[in-house]
Amino acid sequence: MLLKHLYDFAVSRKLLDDLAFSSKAVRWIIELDRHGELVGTGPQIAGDDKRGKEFSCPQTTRPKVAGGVSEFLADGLTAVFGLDTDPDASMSESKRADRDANNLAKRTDFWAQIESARRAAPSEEIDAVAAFGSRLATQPPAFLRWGRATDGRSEKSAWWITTAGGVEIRLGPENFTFRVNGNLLLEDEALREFWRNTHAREVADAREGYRSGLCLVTGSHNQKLAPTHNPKIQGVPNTQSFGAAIVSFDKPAFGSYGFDQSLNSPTSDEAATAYCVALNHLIQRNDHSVRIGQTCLCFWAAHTPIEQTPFAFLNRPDPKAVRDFIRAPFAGIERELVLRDRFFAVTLAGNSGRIVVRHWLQATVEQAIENLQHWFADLAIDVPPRPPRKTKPGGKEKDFHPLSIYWLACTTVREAKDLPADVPAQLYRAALEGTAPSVALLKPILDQLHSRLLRDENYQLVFDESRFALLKLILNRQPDRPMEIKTSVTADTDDAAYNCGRLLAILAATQDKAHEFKLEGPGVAERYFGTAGVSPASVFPLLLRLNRHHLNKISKSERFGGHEHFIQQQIEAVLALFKPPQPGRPPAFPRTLDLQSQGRFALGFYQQSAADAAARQTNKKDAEPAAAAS
Amino acid sequence: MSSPILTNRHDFLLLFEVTNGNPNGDPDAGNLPRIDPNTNRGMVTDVCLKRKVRNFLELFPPARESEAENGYSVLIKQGAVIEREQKKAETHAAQAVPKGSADQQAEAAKNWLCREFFDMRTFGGVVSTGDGVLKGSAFGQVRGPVQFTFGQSIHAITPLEVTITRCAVTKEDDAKKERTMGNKHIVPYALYAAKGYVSPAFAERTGFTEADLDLLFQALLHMFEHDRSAARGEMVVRGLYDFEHVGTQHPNNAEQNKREARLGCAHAHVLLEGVKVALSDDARAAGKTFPESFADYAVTNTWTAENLPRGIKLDLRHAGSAIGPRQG
Repeated sequence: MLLKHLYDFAVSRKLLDDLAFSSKAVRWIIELDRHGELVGTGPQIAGDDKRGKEFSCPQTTRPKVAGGVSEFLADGLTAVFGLDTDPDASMSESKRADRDANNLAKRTDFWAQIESARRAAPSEEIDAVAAFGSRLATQPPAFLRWGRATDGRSEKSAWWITTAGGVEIRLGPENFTFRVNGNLLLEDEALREFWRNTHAREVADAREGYRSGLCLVTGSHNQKLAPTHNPKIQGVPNTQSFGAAIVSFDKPAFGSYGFDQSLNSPTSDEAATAYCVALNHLIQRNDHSVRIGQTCLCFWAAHTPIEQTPFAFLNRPDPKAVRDFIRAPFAGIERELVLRDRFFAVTLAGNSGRIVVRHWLQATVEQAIENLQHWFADLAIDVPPRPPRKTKPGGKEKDFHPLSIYWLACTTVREAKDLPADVPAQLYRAALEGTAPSVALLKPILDQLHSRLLRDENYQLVFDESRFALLKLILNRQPDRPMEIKTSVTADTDDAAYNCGRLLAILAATQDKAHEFKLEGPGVAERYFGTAGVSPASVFPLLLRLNRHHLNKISKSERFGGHEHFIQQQIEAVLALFKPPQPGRPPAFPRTLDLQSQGRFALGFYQQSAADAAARQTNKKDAEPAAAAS
Repeated sequence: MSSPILTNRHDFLLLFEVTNGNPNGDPDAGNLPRIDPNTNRGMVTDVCLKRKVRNFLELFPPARESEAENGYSVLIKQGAVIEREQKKAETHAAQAVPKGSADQQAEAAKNWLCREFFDMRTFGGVVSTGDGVLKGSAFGQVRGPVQFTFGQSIHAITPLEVTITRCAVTKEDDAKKERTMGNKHIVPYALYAAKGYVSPAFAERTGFTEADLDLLFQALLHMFEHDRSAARGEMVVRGLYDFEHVGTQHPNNAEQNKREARLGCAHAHVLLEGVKVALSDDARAAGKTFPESFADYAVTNTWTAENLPRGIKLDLRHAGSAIGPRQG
C-alpha cells in the first residue's frame, strides 16, 4: 500500500520524466579549444564548494557493482584518465592486475560512449573532446602528478592537479567534465537527447532479461519484474551514504518458493523505480520531510502540493501564521479537493543495508489539517508581550519558534543534545494524528522548570512559552482531566492544584512588590515552589502567614501604599475556591498532588504570573522591568 | 595491615532525638524541617547523618600508623575539590602500575582513594568524572559497605515557626530603616530512627576494616556532641543497636561460620523490628498522644540471650553491653 502511494506520488508529480539525468557535483571543467587542445595549464574549478558545483548529469542504469562502467560526460579520475586512485596501495600481483584491467575497462567505456555520441550527434565540440581523448591514450595529462606534496607537509603520496590558474591542489574523489569553445557539453541539447535515447535503450535492454509477471504495486499482469529495486534510497539516518532499500531479499533465507531476490515481492521495474524516486524526492525536500533523531519523517498529500497545505510550517510556526491557521485552517485551500485528498506520513529508520518503516499514518488531508489545528489550539497559551531578545540558546532570532516541535521537545531536557528521539516522534504523532503525548513527559518538564527556577539566573518564567504550551496540551489531552486549561488564567475553577499554583504566584508577586521589585536572591517562588507543588498543605499556611509581613510593608510603602487591599482581595478570592473537606470545616489545602496535579499547579502558577506581568505592562504607572517579576 | 578487613555483616538501628531544633532543613521549602507530607513524620536524610560522621572524623582523626595503612582524611568536606584528589589518585596509580591497562590504573586510583579517605572507604562515592583514567570507568563508582536509610520520626511532628528580630542591619543604606525580622523553624520534640547496614562483601572492595567500623560507631555515638548549633537545638543519640552476624556453628567450624557471618544469619528487618519504641504507659495514662520528651517514650528491646536468632550478637553500643550470641 505504502509503495503504491509512493508510486502514485511519483506519477502525479511527474518525477519520472527525466530519469536519464540526475544532479551530481562536478568540480573540474576541462576547457578545450576546437582542436581538442587544453586551454590554460589545467582544468578550471567549478563552484566554491569543495565538492564542486551541482550539474544535471547523465545517469546510467547499468549495474556498476561489477566495475568497468563509466558515466557519460562526467566522471572521476579513473574513468576519464584510466588512472588508479592509489597506485602505491599494497596488494597481491593478481589483485593489482585485476584492478588495472578494471581501470582500463572503465576508461575504455568512458571514451567509447563519447565515440558513440560523436557518431549519433556529430558536432565540433564532441570532436574536440574525442581528439583530447585519443591523445590521452598515448600519455597521461601534464596537469596530473602522483607524489608527495611539494611543500613537504605530508609524507603520504597523493594525486595533485594543476589548475587553470597554475596552482597545484590535492585531488579528491571529484568529477571531471568538458567545455569546448565556451559550451559546457553537459548542457548541450543534442547530447542530452542522445543520452535520453541511450538511457531508454539501457533500460529496455536491462528489462529484456527480466522475468515477467504480476506487479504487486500496480496490479498489472505481464510486467517486467525488477530483480532489485533501484535507485537506492539515500538520506535515511543509519544507512550507508550510497543508499539502502526498503524491499530487498539479499539472503536465500529470506526467499520463498525458490524465488530469487526481489522476485519474492514481484514489482515491475517501472513501479520499483517510481517509488524509489518518489521517496528520494521526499527525503530531499525540506518541506516534505524532517529528521527526528535517528529517524526521518516524510509526509505528503496525494494531490494537493505541500506548499498549499499548512504542514510545511510545522517546524517553523511563526505566531501570526499559527493564529491565522487556528482561526481559518482551510483558508486558501480548496475545501472540495481537500475533502477527497489523502494525507500520508511515514517514519523511516535505518538498519545498515535496509530501511525500516517505523510508523505509517494515512488520513484524509482534511482530518490531518484538523488534527494540526487542534494541535495549535491546544498549544495556545497567553504570553505577555515579549521584549526583543538579543541572543537565543543555540540559534538565531529568526530560527526561534517557541511552538515548533524542536523547541517544545527541548523543554524536557537540560540541553538539546540530551534529547531522546522518541520525544519529538511522540509530538509529531500528536500533531498529525491528534494523539495525547504520554503523561510521563510531565515529570521531566516540571523537573527542568524547577531546576531553572532555582539555578538559572537568566530564566524568565513568563516568557517560557514552549514549556507551558506543551504542559497545557498534555494535560488537556488526558481523558480523565479534571479541568480544561484555557489560554489565559481561569479564575473560577475549583481545581485545588491549579489554585495553589495561582496562590503561590500571587504570594510571590506580593513579596516582589514589598521589596519594590528589587528583591535579590531567591524569593518565595524559588524557595517554596518544589514543596508547594508536591505537598501544598505543608507550606501554604506558613506562606500565608509570611505574606502578612509583606502586605504590612506594602501598606507603609510610599509607592505602593494602598495596593495591599487589592492583593488581600485577590488572595481571598483564590482561597474562597478551596472546598472544605467536610461541611462546616475550614477549607484545606491538598496534602499531596499527583503528577497531573503538579502540572496544573505549574500552569496555575504560570498563568497567574503571566496575567500579572501583562497587567503590569499595560499599566505604565506600575511598569517595572519584566525580569524583576519572574 | 594491623586491622583485618571486616568479615561480619552488621545491621544497626540509631535512635536520636531533637528538642527545640531543626535537625535537617529542606532547601526546597524555605528550610522547614523535612517532613513526609503523607504522614507528617519528620525526616532526616542519609547524607545529613553522614555529614555528621564526616565532621566528627575531621575533628578527631585517629593517627595513621604508616603510609601503607588506611588513612582517615575526609574527601567530602567544606571547600574540598574532588577533582584535585582524583588527580592525585591518578598520579599515584600511574606510579603504582606504570605499565597497567586503563582498567588496572583506574582500579589502583580507586584503591588509593579508598585507602586515603575514610568516607570513601565507608560510604563510597562517585569519582568517574574528570579526564583521567577514572573517567567513565566502572571503578569510578564506588559503593561503600556502610549504607544509611533516611531517619524517620516515630510520631508525626509539628514544626513551629518562631519569628525573631535582629537589632542590626546588614547594609549601610538600611541603617535608618526598621530592624529586620526573620523566622526560624523548630521541632519541639521528636525521636528519630535511622537504620544502617554494613556489608562485608563491599568492605572487601574498599578495604574497610574492623577498626574502621569501631570508629564509625564511635562517630555515630558522639557526632551530635560536637555538632552543637542553636539552630539544631538539643540533639542526643538515645540508642545504637548493633546486630552483628557471627555465624551459627560451633567455634571449631570456623570456615562455615565465616561464610555465614559474611552472608548473614537473619533478616535485617526482623532484627531491627525487635527494638520497639512507643509512648510509655505513663504518658498514655496522662492523656498524651504525642511525646513531649524522651521520658514519654518506652524503648523496649525485646531481644534476650534466649530469643535472639542464632548466629546473631546484639551490641548495645550506647550502653556498652552485649547480648548473645545464643549458645547451643
